[in-house]
Amino acid sequence: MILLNLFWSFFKIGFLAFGGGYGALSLIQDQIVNVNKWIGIEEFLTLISISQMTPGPIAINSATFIGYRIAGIQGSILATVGVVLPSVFWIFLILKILKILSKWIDTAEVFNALRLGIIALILSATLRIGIESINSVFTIVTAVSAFYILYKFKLSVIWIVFGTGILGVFWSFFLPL
Amino acid sequence: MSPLRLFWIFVKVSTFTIGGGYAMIPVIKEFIVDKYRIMKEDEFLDVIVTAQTVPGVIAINTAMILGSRLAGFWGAFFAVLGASLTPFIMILVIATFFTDFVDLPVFEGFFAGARVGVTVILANLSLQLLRKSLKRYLIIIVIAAGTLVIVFLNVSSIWVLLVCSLLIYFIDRRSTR
Repeated sequence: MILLNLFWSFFKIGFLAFGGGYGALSLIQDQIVNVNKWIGIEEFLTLISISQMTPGPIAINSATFIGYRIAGIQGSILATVGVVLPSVFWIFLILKILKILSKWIDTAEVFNALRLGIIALILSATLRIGIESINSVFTIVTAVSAFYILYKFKLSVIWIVFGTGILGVFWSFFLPL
Repeated sequence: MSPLRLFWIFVKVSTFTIGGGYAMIPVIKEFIVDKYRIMKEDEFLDVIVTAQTVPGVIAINTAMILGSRLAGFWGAFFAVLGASLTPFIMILVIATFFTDFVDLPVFEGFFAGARVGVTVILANLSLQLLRKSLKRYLIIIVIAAGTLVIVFLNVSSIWVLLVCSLLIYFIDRRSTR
């Protein structure tokens, strides 16, 4: 019963989450803290900081975490599958709609505009993470040199993220916060 | 592209997606557009846009559309599996052994640094995408306004995407006439 409930709650989260992780946060909180009382608000806040510090979407992180807490490995698998599954429905639907629409209107022209509009979203994510993470002389120097290296030597973006992470470890040793 | 190669690409993508879903866009683009050249930049952006327009975990939506475009059903299946595997395993390890790890200076340092790297690769991507429209001032203004509205007024990004794209659509039409 608890397994079914886990699956269903996270299915709802995946089905209704609009606009990505942070938009889904209140939905997740509602389901796991208020409705099901699986964890308290304190532990929910810990969960958010764990999500921010580990790779992966926040919805998946919370599904795995809560699922494991409530019902072990089985629970974590069911909750994670539950949050992923609604995408099958939505993607199937949107691709069908696009196919039908393309018979009536010139979707290429619409996508031309959307491709430019999405830059605002990417820029806003850049600004948000930047404001929060670039906040000292060390981080500014790191950011500028990382940008230069990426631009000049066309290094893989993976190495940029990994390299700045390693630098971060060094600051944490030399600069006690 | 074989489903297994897609699986591996998405394992790498999800491992380096730290600090929110947008961080994955430059990483996927590097593999799909720059390295393996299996998609043009415009096509890739269409996938990103489509993934944002429906509910669901955006990283999963993206993996599903890209996977199905490039390798059909099994492509979608393995891309989604790859995108959820690292986050799943990491959270499982954390939930089992140490919820307190968030307080360890080494981890704190690594992820603080990595977020600087994520900012850099996102800024680089934004510049790449803006390059083509640099001389079209009206469009730049719309994109800048949209960015500020998301960051400082906390308006949901999906609305900003729709309004900005609509404005750009009409600007485009007027200028081509």
